[in-house]
Amino acid sequence: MPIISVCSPKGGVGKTTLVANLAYAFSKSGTKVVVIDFDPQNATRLYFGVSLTDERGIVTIPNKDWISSCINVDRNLYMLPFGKSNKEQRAIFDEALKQPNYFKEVQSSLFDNPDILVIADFAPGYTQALDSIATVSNLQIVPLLADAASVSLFSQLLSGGLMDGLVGGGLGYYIVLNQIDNRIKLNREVQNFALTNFKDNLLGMVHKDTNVTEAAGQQVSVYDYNKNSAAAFDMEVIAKKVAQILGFDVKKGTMIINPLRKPN
Amino acid sequence: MKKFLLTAFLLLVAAPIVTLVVIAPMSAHNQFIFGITMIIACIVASVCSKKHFISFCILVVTVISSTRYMFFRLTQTLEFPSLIDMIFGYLLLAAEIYVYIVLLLSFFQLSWSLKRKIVPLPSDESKWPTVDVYIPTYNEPLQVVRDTVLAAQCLEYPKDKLKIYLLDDGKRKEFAAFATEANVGYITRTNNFHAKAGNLNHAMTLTNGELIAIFDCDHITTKIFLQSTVGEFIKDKRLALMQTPHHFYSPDPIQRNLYLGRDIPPENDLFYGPIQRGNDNWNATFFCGSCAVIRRSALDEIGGFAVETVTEDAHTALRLQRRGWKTAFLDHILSGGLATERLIDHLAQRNRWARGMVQIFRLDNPLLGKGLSLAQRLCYLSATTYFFFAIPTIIFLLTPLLYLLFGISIVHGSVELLLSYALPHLVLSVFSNSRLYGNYRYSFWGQIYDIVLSFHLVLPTVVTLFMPHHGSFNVTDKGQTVEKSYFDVHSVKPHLIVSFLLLLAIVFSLVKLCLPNYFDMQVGPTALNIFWASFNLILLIAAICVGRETANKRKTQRIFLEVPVNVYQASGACTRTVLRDLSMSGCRVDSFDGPTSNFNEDPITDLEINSDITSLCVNVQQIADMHKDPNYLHFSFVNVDLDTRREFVRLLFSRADTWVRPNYKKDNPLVSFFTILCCIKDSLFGKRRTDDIHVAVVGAKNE
Repeated sequence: MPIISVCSPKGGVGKTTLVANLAYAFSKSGTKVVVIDFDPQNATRLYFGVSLTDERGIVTIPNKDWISSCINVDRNLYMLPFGKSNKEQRAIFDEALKQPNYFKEVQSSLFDNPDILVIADFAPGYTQALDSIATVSNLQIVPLLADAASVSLFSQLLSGGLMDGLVGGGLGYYIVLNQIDNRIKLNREVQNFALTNFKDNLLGMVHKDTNVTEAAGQQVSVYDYNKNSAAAFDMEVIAKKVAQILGFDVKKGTMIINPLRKPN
Repeated sequence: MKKFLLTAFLLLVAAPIVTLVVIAPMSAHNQFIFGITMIIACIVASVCSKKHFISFCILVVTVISSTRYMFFRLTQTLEFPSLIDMIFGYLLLAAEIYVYIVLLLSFFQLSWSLKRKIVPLPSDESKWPTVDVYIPTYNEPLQVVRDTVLAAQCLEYPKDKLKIYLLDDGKRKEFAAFATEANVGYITRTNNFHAKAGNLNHAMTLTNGELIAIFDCDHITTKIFLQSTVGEFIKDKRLALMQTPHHFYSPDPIQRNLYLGRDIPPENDLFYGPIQRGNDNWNATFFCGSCAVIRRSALDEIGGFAVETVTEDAHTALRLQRRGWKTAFLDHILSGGLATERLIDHLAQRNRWARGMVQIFRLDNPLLGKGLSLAQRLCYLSATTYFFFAIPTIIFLLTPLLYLLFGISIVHGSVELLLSYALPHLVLSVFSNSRLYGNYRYSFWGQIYDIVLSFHLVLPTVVTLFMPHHGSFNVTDKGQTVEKSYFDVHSVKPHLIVSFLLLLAIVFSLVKLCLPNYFDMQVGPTALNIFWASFNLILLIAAICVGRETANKRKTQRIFLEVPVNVYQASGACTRTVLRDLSMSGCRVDSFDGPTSNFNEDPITDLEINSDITSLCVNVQQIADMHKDPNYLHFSFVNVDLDTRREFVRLLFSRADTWVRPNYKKDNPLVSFFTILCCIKDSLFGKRRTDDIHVAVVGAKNE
């Protein structure tokens, strides 16, 4: 099964939110998903109801077979937290990742597994993990905010000069425009700019929606928190598109949210 | 050779036979058998085949039977015992001859209709002509005109070849301001000479597009209007005019007050379908003032739009055709407008049309003058004399009174003999009209439309006939609302009086028939006249029901539109739901539950509509719903700016598939008559039309 890396040159653009809800969207439609957190903040686990005091994580077991360390957080859904770490532990971890073919050999049981979809979350900017995973990753998803600051990132992305040329491995990179708000004219203009420039490389747009933060606060998926949430719908559409691009079957092809439901 | 043989056959074989069939005298018994045979033959043929040839055969039989009746009337029924009988007798005869001629003309017009196809524009855009869009207005509210202008801006045509002008004869400052804000041309003038025609002619001096598209200020165009109409002008350099149907998305007074929501073709469908298609076949389509494209060079040749009559449109077309220019009719609904709202406005509008057509008949008679083919002359004759129907209609309404109340006998001969000739003529005319255009007008409804108008048209047509320069242009009011239901006594006063007389005559005669010892009444003629009077009474009551104005408070029309929407709440929650219907002022969406559905604490502030045509975001305010249906939320729009409004127009009116003529059931004269009775019953029992929505469903964006 494919490997999806979610990365971004900037922090706070909604990477982890996207990772969590994409994972939920796939697992709810019957695909076995493992989410791996490569971000030392170790925050992804909080979206999946893993306890704050649980300090397990991959950072301490770089050479162990990760597949046996997966924490089952929901039906079809598994999680590998980064774990609590100090500076030295992180340095050792990065050293381990530097081995050529680290993901092909050391972690092959996980990254070669035909039954498992891997979604990896990264810290902003360049990281060793992102560099190393490029050998196996099929698809990069780059969430960006629909604000004025992103426009300068757009042009960098378009010229391919972002993140030391990392973006573009496998099937290439796709943009997700996060926190779109059509009430704001500037926001609409950024959307139009992205639409005209990225064309097919624009995977989708996600509405700015407090349902997402509320759901995260309650450690549930946004689909479970409010099935009518606009952002939930947007992310589900993105999940369907990802499946299409990667060419794998979503076992239950139906949407969690029926796009044109009738009133009850 | 083939043509020669056909002519020879027609002259030597068919003509003598037909003449013989028309003039052969028969006894009542034989004539009955002959008549019933013709009727049965036509019905059987009609059931067996839908082919045009069969329709034509039915028409021939109908014409033979009607001609036979007219021959009988002229030769055997004109013996009158006194002068009074004679005067009324000849009046009725004249009315019947009029109807007979109209029947022949309409068969000629409708038998060969041209189903014109859209000529695609060449792929090389540089060959496309430049187009000026004129939107003339005089006193209509900005609210009506605004969307028409915005819709014209949504027309799909190269930007550098399309110019839009608002021609404001009202010299209104807010219109000038609006035109500037919307970025369209604004043209006004110092005088109002020659009303609309003068307004258009003035604009022609200031603009220079090769083609001119004209939209009345309430006719909202779809984006494909020019793509569908301009191609023909490139293909045919002698084409001067392309007319398209006027389609009304609001109900006219007859639909609103009498149909009461039933699926009955509206009045103008017959004209903007079979009649104009038939005219097109003879190259005699005429201009209807709006929703049309005209070639400037052709107009220049005749000195611009005709200003001599109050129906400048038809007259302009006639002039163009006298100069050898072609006209065409494209039977695709490419724009939608507002129907006249009230009966009184409807009457005023038809009054103008009637005067204008009679003016053309007098001042530029299509039978006379140069440049027209015989077929064109007949088509224009049919149009310009159409409004004379008022007088015969009234004669037919009143005639039974003469016998029932005053004992005046105006048709000589036995009832049996008269019926044996008249019944096949009447039954077959109804039947073949139904076969010819039953999908566009149901049987007997034409008579109701005529009766609604006829009392009000006698004076204007007669006065104009003798004083064609008399009278002025009156503007039809559009976009008003009927605030409260009321009965328009004034407009149907003559109908009420005649109905009362007919009722009186029927009761009076029935009483007389029941008391044969006291009164000397002939049963046959009395029964016949009672039947006739009752039929008239039913149609009259239907016409009177149109005067019961139903309240129509909705200022803008609602349209069903099923697209996804996102609603923004004050807290920042954004929720996806479905739009159900939309108007320019508000909308209805599916309600939803969940953690954010307490709308009192967390009101919905904005609404984002997404479809494959456009996406837009608008400020909204939730409004209370009359029906208290918890499944839906109702909103009104606030602070809609012009750009947002244009997107609304694009979504609501500008789509290629906005207007589709519904498929009406096939006409059946008996069913149609029964429907009329039902309409009358519902109207008298106070039933009101509830749905005033034009149905148009648009698929959701595929995501």
